Amino acid sequence: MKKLSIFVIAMLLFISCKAQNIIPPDPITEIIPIENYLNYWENEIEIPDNAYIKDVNNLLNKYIGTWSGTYNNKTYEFFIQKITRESDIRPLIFDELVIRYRITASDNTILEDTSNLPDSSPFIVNGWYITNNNRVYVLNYVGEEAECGQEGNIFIEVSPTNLNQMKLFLQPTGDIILLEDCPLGEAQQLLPINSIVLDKQ
Amino acid sequence: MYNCIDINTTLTGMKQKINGLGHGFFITLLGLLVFSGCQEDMNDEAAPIANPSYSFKVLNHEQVFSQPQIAEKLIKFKALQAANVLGRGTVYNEEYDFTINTDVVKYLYNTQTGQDSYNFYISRDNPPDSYLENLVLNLNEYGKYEAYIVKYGFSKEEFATIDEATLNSKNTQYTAIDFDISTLNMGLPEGDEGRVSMDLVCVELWTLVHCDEGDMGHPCGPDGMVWSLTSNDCTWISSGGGGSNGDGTGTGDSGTGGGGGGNGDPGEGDYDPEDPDNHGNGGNGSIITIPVLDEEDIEDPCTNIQNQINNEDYDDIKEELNNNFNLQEETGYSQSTDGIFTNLDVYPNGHSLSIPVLTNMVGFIHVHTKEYETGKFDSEGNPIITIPIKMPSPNDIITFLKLLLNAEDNDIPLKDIYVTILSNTGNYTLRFTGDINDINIENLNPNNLKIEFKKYFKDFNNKEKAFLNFLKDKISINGISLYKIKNNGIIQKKSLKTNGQIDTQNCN
Repeated sequence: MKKLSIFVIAMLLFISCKAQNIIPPDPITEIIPIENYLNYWENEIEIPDNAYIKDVNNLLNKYIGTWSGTYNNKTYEFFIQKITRESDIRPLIFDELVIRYRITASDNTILEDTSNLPDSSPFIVNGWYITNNNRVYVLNYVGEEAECGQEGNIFIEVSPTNLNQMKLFLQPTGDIILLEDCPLGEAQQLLPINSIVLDKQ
Repeated sequence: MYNCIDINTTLTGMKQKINGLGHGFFITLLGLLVFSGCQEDMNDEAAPIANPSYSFKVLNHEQVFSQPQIAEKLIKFKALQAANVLGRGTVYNEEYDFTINTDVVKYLYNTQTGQDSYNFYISRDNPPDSYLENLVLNLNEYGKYEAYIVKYGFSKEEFATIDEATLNSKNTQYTAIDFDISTLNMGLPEGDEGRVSMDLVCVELWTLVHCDEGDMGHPCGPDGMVWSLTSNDCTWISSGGGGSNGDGTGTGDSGTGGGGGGNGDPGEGDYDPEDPDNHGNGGNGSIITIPVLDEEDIEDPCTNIQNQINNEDYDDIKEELNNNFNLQEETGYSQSTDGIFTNLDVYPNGHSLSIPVLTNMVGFIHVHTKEYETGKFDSEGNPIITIPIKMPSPNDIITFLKLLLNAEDNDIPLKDIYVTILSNTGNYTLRFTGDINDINIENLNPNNLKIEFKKYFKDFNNKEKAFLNFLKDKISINGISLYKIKNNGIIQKKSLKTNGQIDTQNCN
């Protein structure tokens, strides 16, 4: 019995010493609804560490799914997921949308397909903010020729009268482009810069 | 950690109560378990501590003069030694015939003892030799600063490629000078005042100090380290002035100063060990220094930016571009070494600017537009607005780095290279004060950088924090500095404090 007691004590001490090296996750300090995030961003209001920018009111759910449409004789398919991202930059958690996409020419040639890329790929379109009236969601996009200007913001809005229909367009962002890196000039945009109407699949 | 040590003691007590061979197994097991569980902590405790442990940063003119003791020394130096102010941060002293630069000062701090020193570059019109000279204000053990002219045993050219063994074989000469009163000159014949000084010979130890990018105003050495010198067990010797009596030496163990000068009064010493203002540094304390190489080494981007915004051509360009914030595409100019500005082309039907890196290009200035309507409307009929990021972009940074490499290849001073962005919320410029050999753009993937850049600006609402953290984490090249130029002409250096907050230092 004495041996057993000593052994149990030793095990407890061992676990105790080991436990000192385990860092528990920090508790969430504040929940910020995603619809308030833009106000924080525009006015540079400090978001505290361990805050959760959360889709409290489920504003993002209507975007989830596969959306398809045609534009300039090409078929566009967008695969939209809602994720909870833990920032690797600072202790923050975000509910946000990510988009993968496939573009097919009229002869069925695949022009671009990011549908199977891992989450770590730069070509996964990442959510940024929802506009003040909660109508439009904005995401950050870079293409394979981003250094030549193939980048911008994607704007999406689900029709309030038909939840199976969504508008999408790309607004390219301006930048400095090095002539030596882009001798052919600014890259062509693969995503529609005019609004495309998509149907939910 | 302490719990584990107590536990070992407790186990020893238990061990005494256990009889019989069978108990040995448990005792051994206990020992192993406890040892294993606590091993990491014990290793932490036993980790060697570097000695001496220094931190180092570069201070500007305002920071130096905000230190009362240092400011007092420098002001007295000017007042009593007939110094002339040549310009902001430049002081010429007729008596010692050198010019002190106070624009950028290297500050060395011993994190264990609290000792520190302020190191200034000094220059002479007619230097007697090529050895590197600095002025050092060194904190003594009485909490007072002593002034030394430090002559290192190498030239600035030699220092650039010197190794530790060679450094430790060199002798450094410390000449004590007094800013408060000319105590060193007391009792000397007329005409000899000011030419007598006290020199120290010390045991020297060169060690590497981490070079902090955020506070850096000069190139860091290899691996982001710079050399510092700790001098202990100093011995006084005389130098200059007077005749030849006395051997001029004495030990500094008591801090009394050793041999006198030419008047042959060894041991009297003008340094009073009881006088904290002027006790010398014989043995009790140490002198800690860090070489300031030359004016290039301490080149202050603030001065370059100020000169730039004072330039009429630059100002005209800036005023013209200030009218372009409402456009939907970027606009800008590049600048060549002859000062000429060239309009950057906007791609047809695009939003971007084309920039060729030419061999004689020093920088470019361009507009990051304000929020603008995309021409599309939401279902309520409201115009959809796009929000540009009004900080230097990854492409701006990469172009800046290419301009620096180009400058190095074409003998253009790196201090002239810049990238400036103008926006309705603030103007920012990038400058480089690091080591050109640290720039390796092959490692920078534009696609990854662009998406990471956007993530940083999502996760940090403060744009300066986002940019500086991105610069630190993703570009990771020491010596790229961000400056904000306010509309009232105030130039501010922006950097990250250790607590992650923004440190703002006014240049002017």
